Amino acid sequence: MPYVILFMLLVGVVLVVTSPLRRSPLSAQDASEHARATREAAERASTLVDLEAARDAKYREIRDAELDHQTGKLSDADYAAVDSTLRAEAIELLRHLDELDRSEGEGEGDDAEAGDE
Amino acid sequence: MAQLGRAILLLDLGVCLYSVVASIYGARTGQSDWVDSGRRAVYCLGALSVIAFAILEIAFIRNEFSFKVVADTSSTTIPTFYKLTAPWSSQQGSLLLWVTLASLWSSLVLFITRKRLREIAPYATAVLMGMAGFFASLAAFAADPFATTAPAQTPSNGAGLDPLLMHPSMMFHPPMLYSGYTLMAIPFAFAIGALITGKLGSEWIRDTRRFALAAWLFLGVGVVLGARWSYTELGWGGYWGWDAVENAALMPWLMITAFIHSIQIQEKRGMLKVWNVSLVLLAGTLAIFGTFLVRSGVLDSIHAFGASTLGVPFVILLGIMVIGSIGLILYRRDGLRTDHRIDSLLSREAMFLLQNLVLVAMVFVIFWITLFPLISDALTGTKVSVGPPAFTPFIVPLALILVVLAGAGPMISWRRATLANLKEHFVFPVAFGVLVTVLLVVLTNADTKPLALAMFGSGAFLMASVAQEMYSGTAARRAMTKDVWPVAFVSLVRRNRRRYGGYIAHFGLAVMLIGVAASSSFQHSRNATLRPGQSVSNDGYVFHYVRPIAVTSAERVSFGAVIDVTKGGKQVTTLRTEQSFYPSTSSSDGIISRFFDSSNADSTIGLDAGPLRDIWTVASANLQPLAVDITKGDKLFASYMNSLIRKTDREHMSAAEQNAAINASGIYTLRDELVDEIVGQYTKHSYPVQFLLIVAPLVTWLWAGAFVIALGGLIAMWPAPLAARRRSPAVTRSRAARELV
Repeated sequence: MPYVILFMLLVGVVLVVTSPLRRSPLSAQDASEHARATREAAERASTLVDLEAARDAKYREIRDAELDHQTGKLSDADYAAVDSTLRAEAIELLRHLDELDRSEGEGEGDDAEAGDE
Repeated sequence: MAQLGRAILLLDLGVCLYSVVASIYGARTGQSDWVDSGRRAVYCLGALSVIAFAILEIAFIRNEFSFKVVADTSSTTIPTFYKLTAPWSSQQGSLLLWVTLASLWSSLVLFITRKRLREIAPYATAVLMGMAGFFASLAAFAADPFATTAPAQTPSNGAGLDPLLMHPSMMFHPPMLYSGYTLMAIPFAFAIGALITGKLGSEWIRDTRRFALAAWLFLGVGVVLGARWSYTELGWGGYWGWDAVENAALMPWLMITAFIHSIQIQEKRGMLKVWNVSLVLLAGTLAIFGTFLVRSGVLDSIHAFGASTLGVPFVILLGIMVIGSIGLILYRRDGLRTDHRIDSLLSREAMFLLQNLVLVAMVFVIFWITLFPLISDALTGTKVSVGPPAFTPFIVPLALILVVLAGAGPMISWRRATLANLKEHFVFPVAFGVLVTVLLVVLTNADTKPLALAMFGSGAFLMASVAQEMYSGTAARRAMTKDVWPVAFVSLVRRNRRRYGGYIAHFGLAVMLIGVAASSSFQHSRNATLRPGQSVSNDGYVFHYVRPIAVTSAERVSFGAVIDVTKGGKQVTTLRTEQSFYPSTSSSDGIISRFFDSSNADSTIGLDAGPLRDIWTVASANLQPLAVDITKGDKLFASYMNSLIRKTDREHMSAAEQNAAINASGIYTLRDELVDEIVGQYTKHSYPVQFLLIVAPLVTWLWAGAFVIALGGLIAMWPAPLAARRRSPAVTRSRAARELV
């Protein structure tokens, strides 16, 4: 009985672990293209996540400054200076995010056209 | 089933190795299929480890003494609850628990980040699986939990579990500590991944922050449960002895505490990247260092597993972690630089940095004093243990500074603060701290212990600063929403979980440290030898030894005392304390004396815990007067047993027949009757008993403070509402940007 269970576990592990590798095989050129596309997608995703992290942190910072001002820890003048700096930084981040979204959209469009052909 | 367990362990090792290779190959070649495959191997490791651990648990529950670890740490008389906890009382079982927890936490983080951190995650997977593989190989080759004995040598009963480990907190204390240690590996692994790939922004911090917080929470809860166990089980009256293993858990906890504070500066300002990555790498390394101390036997500790051969592999692993971490930081030193500087020393980030320095200084002090016996051994050939007095001159002042900084930080704004604002915010907390200090000097004898008094004043300052922050935040929220106070407060905390969860944890820290200062500085402890009917006083309380207790059960014999406590003639409480002796299975012990083996005993304390003071008692059973009867019984039964064995030998009986004949002779019934008779003597005579009687103030504050800290941690860790985290489309974000202007 233990051997049967062990065999079943072994088969299960092999099936689960190799499932991503058993997807439709690609030619060498396709594989290289695929790897390049994956790398680019990973880089884009990484930049996007990094920007989103920075944006969330900036929003939090704006809220914190607002709360500090409301609770009297920041004077009106200091708050105005800090807030405008933070908001300018937030806008810059949002601009980058929008650019990334646009380039992603164009990339997807190109892909779609290529697919149509 | 032992064979299956062992085969699964080997399979675990293979899966770990595969995952490391597949993840690195996938990352280097950009083939995501291999990265996915490596990640799926981690899930498989989780499932396999759970099955292996279940096999071990079943062996304990079914008393399968063919498993060496079951025979060594369990017996038929142990309650099922403790059979379930027994696996992690041994080196072998605890290593398997480590692999199981590490694989489950790793699976969780890799599942959560499967669509993010695509560049960092494969390297983090390799690091996590490298560490899991290290522990799996120790379990497979050095401390096998599935090792068995030949059927002919399988004992009919096990040696039993160490009585000191038969305590409810043992169900949770080790799994909590191991969860903390294994969770600590997650930010460590992602930091390594970030350093290898050069992706040194806030991305990896955002996704692993909760795991760092979870490590902090689990390790902290584990440490406090250990302190509670020490207080209620070890019978010495304390909760923290600066023991090497206690310190081993405290050091990574302090380091990760520094990290979860300083990452806020990196997230907000992009600063302190080198510092943060160093903290998280140090915390991960200290977690393994703590494990090394527990498992190698290099330092003596009641919590350690004793001498073992695991020291060398751990030293090698630690060497790789330290050299690798330093090398990667140096390699990425340019990417870790930041252009930002702290704007002002009067800013919250400056307070965070100071607090970080204090926490790191604490770790530095604890590290060197803990290692002092090893250093002295290397230099002089003699292990010199320095004990608690070596720690307090350094740790107490640092703790005082920490409390003041924890109180001051929240009252100072980020980036900059003006003196006028500071004055306005510091008035109430400082006044409250001073008022409490003055009242304590006038009304109590607190001034006799200046450091404790300083802690009371600083703690009051911290509590007042948190209360003020909560009040002003709620008032600001009310001004906007017009909600009633409780609704505004809940809404405030919900909208700013990290900030207010942190403040709640700070409040808990103040409560806890006040409890520690009071109970350690103003404890009244007295040793007294009393006969029934006699009394002794301690700190105004009169302890009256009413009567002895003696009880026999299938598992143990217990001797104890009933104590009446009065103050000013008024009854305060009645306490019952016991010392229990568990039958030893050593063949060198006599047939009767094995029931009275003091090396196999534990204490049940008599405790009256209150909000302002604890009355704590323990009695050491005086078995000296029973020794004559025990020795006589040993001789009598040894002679009877020998005659029975001779008789069965003459009849050429097999071992099984011999056992059956001895059982049928009624010798064990007679033995139990004699044990009952000897135990009964204890209550018939007025033997003198030695008591340790302690009256300590505010011990409950320690446990309550720890609970509040954990609550604050949970609030800070709890995910934000889904809507707040949902990605907004570009159009909305553009509008938000316009509105922000």
